[in-house]
This record gives sequence, C-alpha cells and structure tokens, in this order.
Amino acid sequence: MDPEEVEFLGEKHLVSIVPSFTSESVHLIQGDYGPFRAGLPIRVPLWVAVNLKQQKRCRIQPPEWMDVDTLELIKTDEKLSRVFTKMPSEFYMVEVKQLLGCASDDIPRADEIRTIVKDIWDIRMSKLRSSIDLLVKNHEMYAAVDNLTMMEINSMRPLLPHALDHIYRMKTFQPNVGSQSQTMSFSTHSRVSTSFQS
Amino acid sequence: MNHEPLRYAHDEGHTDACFSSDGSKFITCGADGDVRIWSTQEGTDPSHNCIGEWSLSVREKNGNLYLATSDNDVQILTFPGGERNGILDRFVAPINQISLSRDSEHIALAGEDMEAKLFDLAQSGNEGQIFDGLSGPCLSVAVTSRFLAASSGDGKLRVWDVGSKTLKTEIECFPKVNSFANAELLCRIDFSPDGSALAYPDKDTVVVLNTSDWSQSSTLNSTDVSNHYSIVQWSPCGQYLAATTTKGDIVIFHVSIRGVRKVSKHPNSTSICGLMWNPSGNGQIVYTDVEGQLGLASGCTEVKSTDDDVFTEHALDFGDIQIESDDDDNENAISVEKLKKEVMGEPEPELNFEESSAAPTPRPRTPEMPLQPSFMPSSTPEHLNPRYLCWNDVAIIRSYGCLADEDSGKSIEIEFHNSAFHNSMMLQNYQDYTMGCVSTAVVAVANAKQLTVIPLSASSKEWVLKIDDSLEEITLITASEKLVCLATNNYLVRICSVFGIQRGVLSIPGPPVCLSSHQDSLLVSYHSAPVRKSDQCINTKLIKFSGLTMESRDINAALGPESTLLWLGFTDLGTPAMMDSLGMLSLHPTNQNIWVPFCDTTRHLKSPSDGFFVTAIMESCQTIFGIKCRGSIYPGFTPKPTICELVLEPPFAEPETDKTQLEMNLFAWSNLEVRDLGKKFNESGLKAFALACKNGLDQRAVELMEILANPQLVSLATKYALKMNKRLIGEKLMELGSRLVGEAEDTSFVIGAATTPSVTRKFILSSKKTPRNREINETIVPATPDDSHVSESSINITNTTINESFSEEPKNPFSKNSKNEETSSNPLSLVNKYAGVDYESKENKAKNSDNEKRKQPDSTETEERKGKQRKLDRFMFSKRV
Repeated sequence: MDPEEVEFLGEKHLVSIVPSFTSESVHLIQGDYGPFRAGLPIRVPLWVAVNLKQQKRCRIQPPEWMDVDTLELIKTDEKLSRVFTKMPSEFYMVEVKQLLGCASDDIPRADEIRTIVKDIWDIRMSKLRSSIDLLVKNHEMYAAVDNLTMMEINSMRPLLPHALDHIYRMKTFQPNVGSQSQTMSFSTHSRVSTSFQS
Repeated sequence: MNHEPLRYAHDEGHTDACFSSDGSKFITCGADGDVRIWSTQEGTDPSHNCIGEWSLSVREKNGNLYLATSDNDVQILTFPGGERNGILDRFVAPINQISLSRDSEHIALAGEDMEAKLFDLAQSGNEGQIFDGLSGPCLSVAVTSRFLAASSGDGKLRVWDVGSKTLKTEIECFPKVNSFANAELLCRIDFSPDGSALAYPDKDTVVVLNTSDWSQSSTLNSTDVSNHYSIVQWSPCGQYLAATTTKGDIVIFHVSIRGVRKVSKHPNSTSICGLMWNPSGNGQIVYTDVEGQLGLASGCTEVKSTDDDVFTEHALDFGDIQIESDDDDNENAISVEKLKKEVMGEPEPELNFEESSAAPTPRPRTPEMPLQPSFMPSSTPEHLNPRYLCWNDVAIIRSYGCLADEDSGKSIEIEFHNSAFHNSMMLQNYQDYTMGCVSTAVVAVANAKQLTVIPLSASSKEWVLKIDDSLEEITLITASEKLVCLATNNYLVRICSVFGIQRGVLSIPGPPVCLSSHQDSLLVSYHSAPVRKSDQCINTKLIKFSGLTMESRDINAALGPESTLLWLGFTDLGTPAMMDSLGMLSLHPTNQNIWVPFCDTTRHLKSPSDGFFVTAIMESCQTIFGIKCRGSIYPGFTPKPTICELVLEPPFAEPETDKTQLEMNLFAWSNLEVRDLGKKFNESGLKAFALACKNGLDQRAVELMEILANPQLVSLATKYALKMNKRLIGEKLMELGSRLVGEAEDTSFVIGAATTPSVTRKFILSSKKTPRNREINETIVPATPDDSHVSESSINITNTTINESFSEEPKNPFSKNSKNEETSSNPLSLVNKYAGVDYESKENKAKNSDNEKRKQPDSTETEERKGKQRKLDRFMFSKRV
C-alpha cells in the first residue's frame, strides 16, 4: 500500500473536536455523527475534523497521548527496548501529520511534538531495518514482529518480499537446468541480485 | 514577683488599667468600650458598664472615674457606682491618655490633636490650660503641681512650667509616629511622687531627669532585657520604677541604688499597654496587654526587711499569700487565705495549684466567620489575570490585563460558542470593567459605577447606565434574553430591558451574594442573617416580570453544612439551580417548591482538591455542562479547558446497584422536564417492576406500579406478571389498571387515544386501543419454548413489549420486522429490539441490560418464526382461556 492509502485508512480514526456551530447529526457511510452543539466536545473522524478545522468551524482537542511528556516517555521506552513497543495509536504518524498540519494552534508545543514523533519514527525504522538485516544475513526462516503500525509495515513491504524473492532465486539457481534462453534470463537476474546484495 | 493567671478583660486592642485610690479595686477599659471594675479579692465578678465603642484610658480620682471614650471626650462616671456624671471636656480627636497629678488636683489629657490639656479639679468651672506647639499626636502626659510633661509623635519630650506655661525643656528621644494607633512604643512618662524626678523610656534604657535643672540624674537599664521600653511608672513610695517593654518584660528598678530590683515577663510575652502600681504601697501591679488580658503581679517591692533571696523564693511559691500578708496594714484586705494561713500555718502547694486552676478562664473566643462576598456565577476571581468574566452556554468572556497595572493593555474578549450566531468580539477595557455577562440577546459589562450593554441584534446601538449616587456601587450584574439587571451595594436591584428601558427597581433584604436571570425571571440570593455557626444564612428570591409588574417568591437556598454558595443560575428551561462549595448541585423544580439535590459533582471528580466549574445546566438533556478543574475550583487558560457533561442524577443511596439506578432515573424524570422521555420512562418503570418480580418481591412490584400510577405501564406490567405466572400481582394490577383508566376518563382526557405522550409529567394513556391479542402474541412467544428459560428471558420480553406498545398504532410489528434495513439507524426501534431476542442461542437472553444497544439483523428467520408463533399462540390461548 502507498502511504496515501494508509493515510486514508488512518483518517477514519476518531478525534475529539469542539465545534463552533450547532447542527443536526450528519449521516455518513461510516456511521452517524452528531448532533453538533457549539462549545461541546464531540468525536468525529479525523478527516471530518480536519475539514471543519480548515473551514475554521471547530477547535481540535489533541488526543491524550499527543503531549510532550507522554511522548518523551514513549521515546525513552522505545530506545531502551530491544523489541517494538506498543504505540498509543495505530495511526500515530497519520494523526500527528494531519493534526499538526492544520491545527498547530490548538495543540500546545506543536513543534516539540513534531520533533519527538519524528525521533520515535526514526528509532523504530532503524530497529526495523536492523532486524531485517539480521533476518537476511542469518538466513532465518521466519521472524515475529509485534506492535508495528500499518505505516511502518508498508514502508518495508514493497521491498522486503522482493529482495527475499531474489535471494531465493539466486540460491535455487542451477545453470544446467533449462534452455539457453532461460539460463540467460536467470543469469541477468542473478547479476542484478548480486549488485543488490553488495 | 508573682503573676496571677491572666484573665480575659476586653477585646483585642488597646486597654488601660488603674487602681482606685484606696487600692482595693482596679478599673480596666478597652477596645470593646466596656469599663470594668474589679476587686483585688478573689472570686468576685467585675461590674461593667459600656461607655462607647472603645475607650483608651481610665483614671480614678475623688470618687469619679475619668474615661477617654470613642466620642473624643472625657466621660466622668461615679465610682464605684458607675453612673454617668457629666463630661470633663471634648476634643476633636481621641484622647490618648489621662494622667493625674500625685501632689495636686490636676488632671492632664493627651490629645491626638497635637495638644495636651490640663484641668485643675480643685477649681470648678476651670476651662483648662492648653499646651500646644507639639508637631505630632500627644502620646502621653505626666503632671505635677509644677510641671507638665508630654511625649508626642514627633519624637520629642517637652516639659512646661504649669504656672507660666513656658517650655522648660525639649528632648528628642522617641521614635516618630503619625498616630497613637500606629505607635508601637507608648512612650508613657511619669513624674516621681515627690515631683523631683521625671522618668521616660529611651530605647532599652529608662532615663531619670532631675526636675530642678533637667539634667539626667541616672540611666537605668537591665542586662536581661534588650527590648525597648514602652511604659515607665514610679511606685507610690518613690523608690522603685516599673518599666515594661513591647515584648512583655516587666522590670522593677531600684532608683536610689540604680539597680535592677526584679525582672519578670508577661506570661505570654504580649505587649503591655496599661500598667499601674497599687497606691496602697503593697507592691502590687495591675497590667493589661494588647490582647485585652488582665494580669496582676505582686511582690514587686521589698516590704519586709527579710533576706532578699529567701523572700524571693517565698514569693515565688506562695505569692498570693505573700500579697495578703503584705496587706497587713490594710484593713480592707480580708482574705480567706490569710485566715487560713493564720489558723493552719503554711498551706500545701497543691492548694495553691487548685486555686490557680479555679481562676476564671478567659472567655472562649469564637473565630469570626465572614459573610460570603458577592460573586458572579461562572466567573473566576478578580485577582487572577487573565480571568473569565463569564462562561455560560452562549459565550465565554475573557478579561486580559491586570486592573492595578495602569500601563498594561486591558481588553475583554467575547468568544461565542456558536460562531454562526455571532462573531467573536474584542473590547478595549478602558473603563476597568470587572463584571460581565452574556445572553443570546446582549453582552453586558460593568464596573462599580457604570453598566455598558451591547445588544447583539443587528443595527442596535450600545447603551450605558451610570450610577450617579456617590455611595451606590454596582456589585453584580446579569443578563438574559429579555432583562439586564444589576445589584448595588445599597441592597437594590435595578432591572432594565435589553435595549435600555429601566423596567423597575426593587429592594432586597440583605447584602446580595449572587444574581442570575433567565428570560423574564430573576434569581437573587442575599444574606438574610449573620453567619450561624459557620453556616452562611443565604436566602434566595425568584422574581418574575410581566410587563412592568413583578411577582416574587422566596425559595430559600440549598447549602450544605459550613459551605458557601458557588454557583447560581437557571437551567435551559428556567428551573432555578444552585451549587454549594461541597459540590452538591440542587434544582428547584417549579411545581415542587423545594430544593432537590440533583448531582453530587464530587462523585465525578478524581481527587478531593478538584473542583467542578459549572457553566450551564441543560435540563432538557438531563446534563450539567462544566469544567473539571484539577486542584482548583476555577479553570485555567492554557490549555483551553474542555467542557464535559455530567448527568443529573439525584444522589440516592447505593448508587451502584441496578435497582437504585432505575429508581434514580424514575425520580429524575418525574421531576425534570427531560426531552424525549416517554419511552425511557416506561422502560425504566417496567425494568424496575421486572427486577422486583424476578427477586420475588411481589409487594414491592405492586407498590411500584401504584406509585407510578401510569395506566399504560400498569397494563404492560399486568401482562408481564400474568406471563410470569404471578397471578396475585396480575390481579392486583388489573384492579389498579381499571381504577386508573376510570380516573383518566373521569378527568375527560379526550386525547386518550393519542399515539405518543408528549407531556412528560403526566403520562397519557396511549395504547388503550391497541389490540390486545397482538401484544400478547408478541410477548408470549419467547416465553414458551422452554420453561426453564422463562425467567431469564423475562427482561428481554419486557423490552419487546415496551417498544411495541410505543410504536404507533397502525404499525404492525410483523410488517416492520420484514423491513429491517429501514429502521436500522434507530437503536430503540422495534425491529432491532425484537431482533435482540435471539431465538437460536438462548443464552443471549440472559443479557438484559445491554439489550438496547444491540443491533442485530434477524430477518431471515422471520417467516419461520411467524409460523411458529401462530402455533404457539393458539396453544397458549387454548391453555389460558
């Protein structure tokens, strides 16, 4: 999946907003939201919140975890732990990006939050890369990875199976089998794979 | 030197004491304006007499008491009778001290108005001599037949010759003060009895001047005392000089040998402000302190020519006895102690102890509990910056800028919750507005003198109401959709219309505490009485306006013990509401005329130091809107506080149980006008009934139906009871039902066949004509499959029946069943409910409470079920009928 698609899924997550208008419920495919009463918090999908915020018709309340202290804690946990820790939200990157993008005035210390979340992301990605490296180098048969969010999985997904596939082909390569043309094609493949591995 | 236990004499403040000329009685006066005459003998209560608001000084001469009173005059009272006997003189400012001459009939007065006045009592009709030229208030005077000495606030001691009124000497020795009330050192000076010496305190020494050439004859100081002396006084014999300090030290100097005779200390180290020797010369000193306590010290002089040390020790242990034995030459002093001592010899120490404990204890002082100051509901206090002037269901008014600071930019921001209703407003706060209120019609802001109202409707101009009376000040304001009201400090409430017509003025019988309004109604709370054992006596008036007339009702208040009022207002439907500082929110439903507690906000808070800041109450939604404030009762500014909702639930006991929950709901819904209630009410009623039935509490079940007295509910309950094989209940309910129906018809409810009840308070019979068969069909079905499941499924069944009975008449439940998707959005709809009864897995039926939320399409089995039902119906009817 593309990051855009993950983002699309992430936008279905509910966030709390304080609308500045009064309205009846809105009926969406996802479900009914409302009624909206001015000044009273209500939970709506992220994309609705962003849309209303862009129209300046609501104030977004940051999720509980979107707070410098909480995120610092998560960051230190992530640093100390060998495995992946559980993230406060399945779509934390999406939420941070969307909310900080449109409603940084509603979120205290938005810049610090942005930095910390980026740090967490980097730590997790490097962890992910090193564990894959380990997997490939040790010729492990399988690896269990918990607590990865969808965005993180999708950052590796296009590459990893493809790479493993190449390795597999190289291992099973037998120059004597098959016709000439096939051999040629395999050899080209193997060359590509070699360059990849180096 | 021996101190008697302190006695309570006067209220806190400056007190003075003196002895009568024979030494048998002493007189005190103090800040409570009382003058008390005490006897040196034990066990007699003082006689007292009130002479004003306070009294600064008292002296006794020739059977008259001279008192400096709060009326700035010297009042003469007879002694010991205490009758008023004229006025010696009047001043324009308080008289700080009265002083008597020991060797003549002169009396000197020290005036706050920078003069000393001398009267000769021997000459009647004497106008008195004025000694002025002081450049500060006269703190103390001393007089002999020849000289008058005065200490004044300009730090100088001056001595005049009485005959020639010439200034003899002027010495700068005292600290400067602007008023006697602010003087820490009283600078009390004294002439020796023979007039040959004048003593005055100078920091931590006492200086004795020779009156012949005004040279310092001696300087007395004690190595034990480093505090500054405030009062000096010669003993009647002229040998000793008593001096006291601001820290309660009492030092007796032996003047002739320039040594310290004794050093003693006030038991509580309180500053002494009045001191006098017993003129009989028995070495007794009476003193009073600034806390209004009275002390007696005895054994201050050497009367017997015994060895010093022995005497001292003796005096310490048996001081009281010692005094009395000192009084041998005094016929007036008759004492049981003395007799005892004569008869029994030395008394036991225990006796002494007992005596001291029997001494009158100070009167217990109750701490003053102030009246609660007035406040605006839903505002934060004035010392905060920034602060909320108002936060209600319409808007938030914020005030930025400190009022005390002139330079800072002061502004008021009004943010409307609904930006479609009105855009945010920003005002420059040049006028120092401290109060604000907003309604859907106006924004009103005010300071003590001026009210500014900005109507919110388009093309209307703001208007200003000024208070011209210099004494009147605005203390509270409020605004509603139709009224703008203000309360002032002279207990008036002024009412204006939204566009500035003054609609009336009314008087309230006490200081206003809080003001609130809704449409044409006004709610005023005020103090009806002083604080009663730390309970605020707050009363509330509900005033309704119609045109230019009004109608008022006293509705009292609902305050918990020792609490204050925290919020006052109306619900959205105009029911008065208030919250006390214990967090209990009470409503005053219109018809009941009683306060009903409806929400204990502390139950919803995490820690006891948290507070709930009420912003609005929505009776129609059965909720309270407010802000949970952590560690405070006021919300902060950053991050922006979030409004949360609490449910209006009366604080019934055992709130966790299902039964109580149902009872709470039934009570709340009967007393409030909650929107869309009909279904929920009957549902809860029937659930409570089913719960009672299930637990075998038949009487309670019947009782519940009698209390609710709703014919529709009764008919449903009857069916339920019959189905549960509770024949007894069924019969009783049928009886009740027919009676209720009869009553309903008697009162000619023409709308008997109305489909849904619209009025919540009275439930109108709606499904009277609903075909009975159909209902029974429905209800019976789930009960039949297996007897063992009957009780489990009972609640499910009730839900089904309720929904059915409330669904409008023409709607056939079967036809509805077949079109599931149409109503799937309504969680309370018939179809979903029915679907909630799962025919395949019977264990689901045990879940009764979460039935409502369950959405489960079950359309595939409809046809099959129908057939089953028909069969079962037939079966059941044949069985029953």
